Amino acid sequence: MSSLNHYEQICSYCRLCEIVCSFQRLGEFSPRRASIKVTRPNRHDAFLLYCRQCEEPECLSACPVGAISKEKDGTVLVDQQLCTACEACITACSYGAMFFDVKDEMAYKCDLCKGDPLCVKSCPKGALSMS
Amino acid sequence: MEGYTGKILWIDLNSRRHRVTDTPPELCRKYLGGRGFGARLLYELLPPGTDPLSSKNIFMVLTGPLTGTLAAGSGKHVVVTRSPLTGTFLDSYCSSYLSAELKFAGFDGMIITGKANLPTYIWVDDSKVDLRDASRLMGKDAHDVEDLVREELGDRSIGVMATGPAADNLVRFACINSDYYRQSGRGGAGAVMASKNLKAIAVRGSGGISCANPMKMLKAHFRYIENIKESEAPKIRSKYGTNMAMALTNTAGMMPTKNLQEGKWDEVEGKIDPDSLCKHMISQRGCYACVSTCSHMCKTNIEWAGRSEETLIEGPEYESLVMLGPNLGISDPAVIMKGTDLCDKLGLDSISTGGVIGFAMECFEKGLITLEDTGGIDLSFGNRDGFFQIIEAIAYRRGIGNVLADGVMRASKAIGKGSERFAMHIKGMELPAYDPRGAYGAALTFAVNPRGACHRRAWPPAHEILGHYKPYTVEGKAQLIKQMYTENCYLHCLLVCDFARFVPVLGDPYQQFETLLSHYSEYIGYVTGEPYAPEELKELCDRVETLIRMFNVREGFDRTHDTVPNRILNEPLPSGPAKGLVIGQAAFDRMLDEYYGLRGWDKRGIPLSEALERLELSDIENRRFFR
Repeated sequence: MSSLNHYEQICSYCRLCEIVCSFQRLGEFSPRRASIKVTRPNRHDAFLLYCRQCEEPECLSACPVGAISKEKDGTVLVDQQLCTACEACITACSYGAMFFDVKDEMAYKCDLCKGDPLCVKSCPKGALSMS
Repeated sequence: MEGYTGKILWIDLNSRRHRVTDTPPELCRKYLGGRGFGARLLYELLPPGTDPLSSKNIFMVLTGPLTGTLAAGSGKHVVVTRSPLTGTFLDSYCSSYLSAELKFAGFDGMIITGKANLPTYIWVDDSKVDLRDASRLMGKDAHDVEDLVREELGDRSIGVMATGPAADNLVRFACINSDYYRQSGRGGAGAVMASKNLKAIAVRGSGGISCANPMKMLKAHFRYIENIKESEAPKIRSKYGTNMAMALTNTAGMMPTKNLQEGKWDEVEGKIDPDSLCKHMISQRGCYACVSTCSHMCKTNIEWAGRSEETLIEGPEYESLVMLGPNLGISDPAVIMKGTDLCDKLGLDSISTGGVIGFAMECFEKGLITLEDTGGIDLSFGNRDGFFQIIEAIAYRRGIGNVLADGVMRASKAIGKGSERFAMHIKGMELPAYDPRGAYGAALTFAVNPRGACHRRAWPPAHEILGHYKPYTVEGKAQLIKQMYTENCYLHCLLVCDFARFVPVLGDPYQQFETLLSHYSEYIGYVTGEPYAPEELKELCDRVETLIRMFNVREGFDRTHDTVPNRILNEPLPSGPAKGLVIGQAAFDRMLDEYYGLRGWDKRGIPLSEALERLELSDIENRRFFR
């Protein structure tokens, strides 16, 4: 069962993971639309919002139209064709790791880049790994 | 062309209207972005003789073609305006998310004119531009202003730049804060904003930046990551931040101590030397897209108003550390960090603040000002209470703070009694934390820097202390400084962090000028689709430097202003490796003459027509980009 791991103490919150993720997803640099996000809830603190590919995904349970599924390899995916942009999954996720795409107006999330996450390779600190 | 958005946002605060123009392709090709854009646009748009604090000054926030992309160190913007501290061209850089957000919103830059009739803040949300009431933000410290703006707009992830009380009081070295702990620090850019009744600017963009060859950018990025694993300097920088420079300057005897009366201070050991400071670090921080991060959140506790108070800041950096530390006879890290925190919240340039207080402390030491003059503030070197009190007094222009708030050049004229002898400034800007008596190249770079005594356009200690140049001569320094100006110029036009130079190469980047030049010349092509030949990029930098010179000449500056303070030129340091040596006028003049010659400027430092022709600047008056 694969998922990302984040090492908080060595992370500098430089947002390179967001930058490359958005490129992987969209072909351009648009970190606001990445599947991984740095969040700064106040002046001092920084956290990384990233999907844990949960065993029992809260997003999956919350989705009223069954647009979210868990693949055989454990990756949790959103079917964009079925998504109605109701945002129930976004509210449900305890990790804040389901996002709303401001341009495409739908829910989206990390798909682990089909097994070879670009964020892991691109982190200059080695603060991300995949287990 | 990719990388650029191709649009410039113009906001007029008089009419409260905005318009959008195209970014002229020739501006991009000949001036690149950032500093280059600023030089060309300010020269064209600002009538000579404009009072920097009048409504007629122009205030620009500019990005570069790499801003917001994967390019290492690309999270910066530059504020360009005329400085109320020096009257020169001012380019004041800042790392924050605002730069990327401005590109995502679709703009290469913002040009702000006029003055609002009420306290105002600007909100740019993609193409929507809103001028909002800032009356609730007035009187608040700069950090509170940022919080309030983010709260009011309902989004903490937006880019914000904001001023504090020092700007409200038009302190001539008031700065602009962004993302709380970063500043457009020097030259009084904050005061310019305040003079326009502009309290803050907030930006958010939902767009993205498409680049010509993002796969090559990604490949370069992976190479950068490998490079920093192998090179020593990025590891040192990640561990110590810029504070590492103290080990260099204190050892070389060029660390400003007690208003540059001395160049070294043993008191720092065990307290604020780089290793001791590491004890205060609680986490790492890196700017947008930074590969070789150097910042840290630091914590300290200090006795404040009868109780123990925690100070938490991103910093301190080397300049704040020394200018608010040894330059004031202070060695307590808690006091320095609290002082830095005060400067951040009040919105004061920590370098000029340290320079001004150091001057005041020397006046106090020599009895030129007394407790009566200071309203009871004890300005003895090292006095902690006096230090905190005078910072506030400057920000609020109270008592003697009102005199100091105009900078040492004006303060020394007001105080008189021979204090001008130790007013440590060039063109009105206070010296930063490098004493040129410890390495003479600094005398040249400070003297010719267009915005005054500033260490950020060339850093000769890389060669004079860490490299192969002898520190106490002027021979070869003009050529060295010109080359260093070129490298920093293209980095500042691209708006890439100075420290990003450590990632494209292994080993010492300062010894690899041609390699870095080639790298960036090519890298620009990955982003825009139009690379430069290295010679073309060099020429672009020459053009920008000479154009900025033309701006200053037009405002009345010449060789007589390209000086260093008498203390630096003629008073020997009393201790350290440079003890007893003086630069002297003759040697300085030789170095300056040589620099002017290399630039194609005459003996007064005025660009000659041959240089103007070569750099395509001769008929600039007749080639306006904007009507």
